[in-house]
Amino acid sequence: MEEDYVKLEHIVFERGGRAIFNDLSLRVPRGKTVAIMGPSGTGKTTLLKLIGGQLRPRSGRLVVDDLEVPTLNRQALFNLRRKMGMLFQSGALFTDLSVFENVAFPLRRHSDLSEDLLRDLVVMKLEAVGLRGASALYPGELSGGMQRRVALARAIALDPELIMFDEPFSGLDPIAQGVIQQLITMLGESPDITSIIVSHDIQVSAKVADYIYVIFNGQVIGEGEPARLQEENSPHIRQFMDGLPDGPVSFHYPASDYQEQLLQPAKKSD
Amino acid sequence: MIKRIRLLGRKSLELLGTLGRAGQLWRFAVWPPPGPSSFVLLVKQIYELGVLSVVIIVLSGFSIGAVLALQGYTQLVKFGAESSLGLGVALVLVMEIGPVVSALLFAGRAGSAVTAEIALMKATEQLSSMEMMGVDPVKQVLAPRLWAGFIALPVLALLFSLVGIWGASLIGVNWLGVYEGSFWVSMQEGVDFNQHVLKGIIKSIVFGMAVTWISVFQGYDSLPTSEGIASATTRTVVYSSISVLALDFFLTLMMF
Repeated sequence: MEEDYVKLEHIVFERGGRAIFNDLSLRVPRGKTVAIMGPSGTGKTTLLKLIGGQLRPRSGRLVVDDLEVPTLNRQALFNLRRKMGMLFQSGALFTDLSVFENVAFPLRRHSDLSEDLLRDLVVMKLEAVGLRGASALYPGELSGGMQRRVALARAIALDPELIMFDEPFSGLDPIAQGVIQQLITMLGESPDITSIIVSHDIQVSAKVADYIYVIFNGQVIGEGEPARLQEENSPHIRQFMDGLPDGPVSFHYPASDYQEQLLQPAKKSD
Repeated sequence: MIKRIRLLGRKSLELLGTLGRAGQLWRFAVWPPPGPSSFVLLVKQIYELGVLSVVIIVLSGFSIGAVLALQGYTQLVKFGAESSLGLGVALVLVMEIGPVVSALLFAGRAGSAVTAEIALMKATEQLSSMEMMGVDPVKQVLAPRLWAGFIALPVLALLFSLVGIWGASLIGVNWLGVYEGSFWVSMQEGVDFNQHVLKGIIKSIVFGMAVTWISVFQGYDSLPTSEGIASATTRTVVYSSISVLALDFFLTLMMF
């Protein structure tokens, strides 16, 4: 039986009185690539923040590498995070550091490597993302796709056991998207790396993931291997997989009666 | 009525929450002070906050010293007491104007920059990414800035007073013709280190702590939007200025 690296059981999380997750359960087996998908605003990024311990659930069990994340103290949490890498949607590179120093940052903070060895490691990571030649540039001089690749090199600098990708394909041109997809696939092939991809890009995610969860209204509404999920008949899943503008997820934001509103005299708030 | 009570309650809770978060930040960022591994970060911040503020401090110190000499001379000469000009200017600068005006200038130049920088790092997820790398942003980003502020402001306040006295001597002695000997001797005899200079330094240390704490906290607690950054920067300057003036009153009451 596969060992779970990340396990969420009956997670409840609220923000501003609104339930983001209501009895959410899912598991990510060690060494696998799992995609978490769902419409915008379903709390996919929040889920990664819960797993990383940046947010705490109101109730439920959240285990990463056999450690109960919400119960960890500050130091234990920082120690656990050294085993994690996260690719932020914005890249989140340090704008005052060069590409080289951005990738070297976690190595400098968590190891006592000699400058020669550190240089070699950084060069290898940058070579893996095809940006060895850009090591002297600053984030402001890079395109969005290049920034994402540098961020990926930084996320894998410490050879993490868990890598979390927050919308890795959004806002990229097809070439940059292909590059990121190839890099994620390459990382996913390693049996020592567990990956979680949060995305709403069905086509690309289906190519790189071993298993997909679809979340909606704070719960998992569908799960399975990509091919099986494509054949799912549930209206929620079908709307999401087929990209239909209307369905269970309404196209319209809740509003008063349309006709009534048009016939009423205009108020400032209208 | 119920609405007003509810609003009052909500605002009070928000205020208590803010004070609690600011207290927590102080607790985690200030102690222990940055160690050898953070020395480079501290030096960089002392440069950013302190060295880069030298120009505005020197220019302001000089003009205020010069104006004090002009105004002081005009009044003192009526009583034939212009020989006390050096003493008067030195006391005013060292005990009051040096620490207070330096702190206000520091809040405007360095404090607002610190708030904007931290707030922008928050908005662009740089602080989050640091956390996810197992690096505590409180130790990496906030603590060096806090300690740099604590160190830089007292030095800047002393520099302000020194340049102010020099400006006053140029105007008083070289231009208005006050006898040089009496200008400096009155200062030497009347200004006591423990009674005047040390108390001025204590004031500037307290102001440095207040201004830097407010600046760092406002940045760290800001909303990650452009409006959030703008209002956090404004709050830094407003709250710092009010705190400096209020603290000055209480410190003067206690020490003099």
